[in-house]
Amino acid sequence: MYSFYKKIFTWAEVWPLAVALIVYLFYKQRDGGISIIIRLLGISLLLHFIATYISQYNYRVPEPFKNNNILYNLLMFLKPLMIGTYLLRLKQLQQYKYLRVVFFLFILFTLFNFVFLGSLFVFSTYMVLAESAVLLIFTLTFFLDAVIDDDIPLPLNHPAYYICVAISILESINLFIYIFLFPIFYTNYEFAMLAIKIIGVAHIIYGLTLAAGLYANREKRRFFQPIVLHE
Amino acid sequence: MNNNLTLIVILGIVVMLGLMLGVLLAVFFNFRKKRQHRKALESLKEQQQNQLIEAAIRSEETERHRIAETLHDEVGAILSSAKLHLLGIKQVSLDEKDKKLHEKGAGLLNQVIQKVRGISHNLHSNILKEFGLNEAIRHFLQQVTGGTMIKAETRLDERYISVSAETDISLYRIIQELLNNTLKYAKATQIMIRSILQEGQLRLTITHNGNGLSQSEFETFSFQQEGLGLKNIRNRILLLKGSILYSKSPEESSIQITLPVQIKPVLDAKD
Repeated sequence: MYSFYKKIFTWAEVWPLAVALIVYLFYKQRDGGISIIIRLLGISLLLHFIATYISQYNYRVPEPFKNNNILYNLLMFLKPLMIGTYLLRLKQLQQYKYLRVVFFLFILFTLFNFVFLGSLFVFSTYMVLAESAVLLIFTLTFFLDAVIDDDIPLPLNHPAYYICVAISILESINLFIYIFLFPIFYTNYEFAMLAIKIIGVAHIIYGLTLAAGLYANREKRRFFQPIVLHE
Repeated sequence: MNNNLTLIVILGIVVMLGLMLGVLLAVFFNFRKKRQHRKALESLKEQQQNQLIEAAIRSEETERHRIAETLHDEVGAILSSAKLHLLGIKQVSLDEKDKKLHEKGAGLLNQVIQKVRGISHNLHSNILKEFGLNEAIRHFLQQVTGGTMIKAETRLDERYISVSAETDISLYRIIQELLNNTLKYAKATQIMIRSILQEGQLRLTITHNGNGLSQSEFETFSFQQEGLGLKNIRNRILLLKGSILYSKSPEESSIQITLPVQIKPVLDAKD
């Protein structure tokens, strides 16, 4: 049983994303704009799978591929890029011009960071900060717009709410952990291990919330459609 | 240093999650508030719409009364006076041809007086006030089908008591309009009006063998500019908080009106 729980936490960055993608495979989606999130889910699943595999079975991996930091760095760039694009396409966020500026600055910063500040093969704390800042600015703007808008802009079962909830929870938890993860490892190893478990929990919440969003946005089943008998 | 770092991380997570939770709660409660506000607004709109319909129906009824009174008191009086003058002509002094013309004129005048009286009664709905809805329906049906080949029958629930004069008038006007339409457009030769009180509702059904409307046709026509009669029916039904259901088959067509009413308590035989 302990081994089962251990596996759940070890692969926490992978299986919740797989659950979300299974929901997508089973249900055709209503909102066409969701396709970019599906692509992000697919890429994240692949990168997280490889990253977890490298960390868990490091001894099996050939020497040049033992470093999984490049995968996390790539994810830290892709996540704000794709989620930002999705949110910027929403009608109610198009009025906030500063979001485009933030989006553009993030791309510039990523380039600057990997050219001048650090290597792609080293886990970048600056990128953690930039990723969280961008995503939190986007999600907070989305939520605040929903509050200040006199009308109800989107129904509560719209996938954008689920995506923003998932992202804001993940980033709120991960931000401080990732920033201080390496210093904690050297000073308080037990807490560092706990922090890694917390990161796992955040990823589980993230993946399952996205899965719930895809389920709420379903149009019809792709397979096993109920047979309708016509008279 | 060790403890400080741990504390910073824990505090950071707690503060960030707290902030996010706060924002999410704000969004949720704000949505609930907006939804309640929207509901209240819709209810107010409906109330205003009902008030407008009520005012329109009331003014239409006042106008009908005014026309009925004018027809009865002025036109009717003049026609009666004309009849009196016509009857005053000494027939002895007339030749055969003039006698025939005189008779023809008197007959036509009688017909006009009857017609004017009929229209006046229809518009005024006196019988409705004096004898109630059931009697008014029977009387109107007799009036429009009497002397024709149309076979008409009524089976009305006598337990019905008037909720209000306005309700009765509205219901009566609806029946009038429906019967006129049935005779004019559906070309019915057999009409049956039934009413039944059940579970606080009055269900009034007009069944006929003519070519009636289907529900979708009624919806379409009642929203067209030309369909004034049907529009009035729809408005009156809306005001009475009732419903109307049209159905048709090759054999017969029917119109069913359902509205909430009171039921007269059945008195014990000992009382």
